[in-house]
Amino acid sequence: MFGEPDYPEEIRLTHRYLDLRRETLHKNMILRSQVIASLRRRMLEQGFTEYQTPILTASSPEGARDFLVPSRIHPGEFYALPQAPQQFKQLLMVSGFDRYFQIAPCFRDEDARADRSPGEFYQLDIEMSFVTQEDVFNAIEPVMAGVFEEFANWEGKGRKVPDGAFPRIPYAEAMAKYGSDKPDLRNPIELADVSEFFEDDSKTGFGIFAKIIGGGGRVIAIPAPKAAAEKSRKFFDELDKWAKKEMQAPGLGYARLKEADGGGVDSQDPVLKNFEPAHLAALLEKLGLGAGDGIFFSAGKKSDAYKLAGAARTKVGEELNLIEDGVFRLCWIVDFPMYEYDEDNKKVDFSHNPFSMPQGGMEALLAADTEEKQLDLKAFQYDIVCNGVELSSGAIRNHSPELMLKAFELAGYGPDVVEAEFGGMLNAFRYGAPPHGGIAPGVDRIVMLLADAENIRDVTLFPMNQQARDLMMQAPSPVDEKQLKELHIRLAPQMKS
Amino acid sequence: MHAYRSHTCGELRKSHVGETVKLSGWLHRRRDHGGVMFIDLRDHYGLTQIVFNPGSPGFGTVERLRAESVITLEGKVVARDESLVNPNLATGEPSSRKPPSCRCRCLVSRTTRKRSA
Repeated sequence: MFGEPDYPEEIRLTHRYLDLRRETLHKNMILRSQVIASLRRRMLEQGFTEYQTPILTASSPEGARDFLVPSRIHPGEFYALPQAPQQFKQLLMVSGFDRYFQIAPCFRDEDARADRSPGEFYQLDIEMSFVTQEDVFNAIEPVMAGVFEEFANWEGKGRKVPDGAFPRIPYAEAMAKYGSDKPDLRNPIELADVSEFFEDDSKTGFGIFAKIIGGGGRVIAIPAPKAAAEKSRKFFDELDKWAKKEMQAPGLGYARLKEADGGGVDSQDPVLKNFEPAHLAALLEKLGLGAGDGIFFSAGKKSDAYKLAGAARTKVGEELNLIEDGVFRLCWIVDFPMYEYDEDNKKVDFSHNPFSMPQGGMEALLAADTEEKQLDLKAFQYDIVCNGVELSSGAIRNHSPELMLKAFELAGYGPDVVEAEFGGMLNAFRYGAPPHGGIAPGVDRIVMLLADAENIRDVTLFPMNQQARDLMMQAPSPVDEKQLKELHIRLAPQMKS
Repeated sequence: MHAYRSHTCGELRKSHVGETVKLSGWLHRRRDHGGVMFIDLRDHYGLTQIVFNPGSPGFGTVERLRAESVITLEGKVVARDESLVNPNLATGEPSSRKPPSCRCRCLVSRTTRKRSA
């Protein structure tokens, strides 16, 4: 096999067949195949059956942008490639099948990211009938834990998967503790809302935070254990700069804790400098911090403050080398909110998936007669997260037409809109639908984690580049006039070369 | 007990006789025999015969349901008379090598979905 010289991405992708002769890539592709074989075997062992669903299908009104395929036989009409077999798998349950799975190709016309191919990806698509959330967890957890255990020591990497059930973390708790709904549990830092300590600036001598809290904002602390002892002032200033530059935040406050002259702990940094000693002691007790430790503070509107705090938690954890090595920490995030407040349109709207089953069913929807109560409603919706990577999203579906119409009504959509957009599904449900639910772990991301790959291209045989071009096959590319004519397509003048 | 089922519709055998079970599925067929109502309940895995005696809870509800409604039932598993064993039904076979005969006598506990057409 070839060595691994460092060529520009463009050259590598143009001659991918040569690039693939690299030992690492060769091994990664074998791993990918083995992971898929393992997933399939584990699903079959769990009593699931694999079914194929169409690739040429209809454009779906929700979700991301579709890839369209023009119809030759029906001028002016288009197929769409499936963003996911979501409707098909639910209709399979209505058809009387049970325990479906498929290693399903999914297509979305989205921009590329390091962990997302432009255009296409594979998911282990799963759906089950007559199930509660617990049943889905019980069916999938052994599959996921099993595949991570099986390949933990791939290439002698010696990684571990902790024993026992995946921790289940309610969404609200994840946001409060980690500032993220995909927390990296290898990072021991936990955030804390310390607003109560800053409300009264007569005790703190620090008016900025009191003013933010007075305006409805929050102050979130990010503990930085031993940072004051081990890092210079520059470390703290750099993080403040990072917050301003990378996060477009007003800044990240900080305080370094040291032994006070008369015993105890104090800080000479502005945020804590003028705290009453007893007040400071209470704050540090809450955070479990002492001399030698550091604290960062993210302040602002609640959502902004947590967003910055979550990112800072990761950054501080990495810089202080706190991220646990050689372990896959998988968890469930559960109890996602059904609705969220849409700031742009000043109304309540679906926060994730409108087709998830609201917890408490019709009773809960009927009882939610104020915006506040609506925002408290939770869905039977769940994610699997591993080391800060969202592997999978799933839900118990709303299979009742009445309940679905009511759920849309709360988000301000009338029955006419729902019937027009989702009439097909609603009608199917009217012919006798079993309660059902499922999940869809991303195959590419599982392989990336197991291969320790930074980029999805390292676990994909023939990937496109960041600009969504396949440089080897030269796709996309212009086509013959004759082909366009057959498809009843005429290009807009500026498109012609 | 589980919200929807303790067993599938293809699962009950003679060894289950006496157990209280919960089944979910589609109302495949319904027959009336002088006050006793029989239902074939169907799911992905098979068919199970359900017996409603007059006065069984839910009798009236199920009597009005249309075919292909999705229902959940709770009841006690009873053996079939040898003369009534249905050789075409996995859950209705007599010999011990093949699945033994049984009949699931059920009380309707709830209806999860009704065909509203």
